[in-house]
Amino acid sequence: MLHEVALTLIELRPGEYAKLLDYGIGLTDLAKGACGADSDLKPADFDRMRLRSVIKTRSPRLLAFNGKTAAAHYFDVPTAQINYGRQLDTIGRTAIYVCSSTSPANGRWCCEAWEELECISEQSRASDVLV
Amino acid sequence: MMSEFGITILPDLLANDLDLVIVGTAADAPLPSGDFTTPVRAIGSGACFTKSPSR
Repeated sequence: MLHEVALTLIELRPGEYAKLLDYGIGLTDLAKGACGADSDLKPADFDRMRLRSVIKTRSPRLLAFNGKTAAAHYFDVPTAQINYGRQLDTIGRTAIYVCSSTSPANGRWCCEAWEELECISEQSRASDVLV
Repeated sequence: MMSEFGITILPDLLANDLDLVIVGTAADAPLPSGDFTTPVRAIGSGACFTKSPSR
């Protein structure tokens, strides 16, 4: 999917995931001490303060939630209140986006927010080059 | 980090000044065989490697 929306130049295999750093892309989860389907996770598993701390420290340009569920837990609102795309909130200088979940459990995939993210990311890199 | 299943959840893949950090909910449950070897399963946001079959 990352290659399909042009966030990576080539299609990486799962075992090559560490190469994402070469493309300026990192990975994390809202719940790092638990695993399982979203429905199996407890509210206490979601550590929004840890995420804020990590993002403030690392200071990426963009943060993208892979699905509304993670975003809803972060913002502490019902999933129905989450819209795809750029959010009003930021973490420090980091803009926040919500994209359609790539989980196979998501039956209503849409790529628009991911493609918007790629455009913003590209513009961000280009502006750095011009500085 | 060990999960309740006794399986290692992959740590964050992060560095300073990245363009983008993708955030998932949590690592997926291990396979019945106990296999938990790919980042697709061991970092929830690693699901971005996959395509939804419903597309």
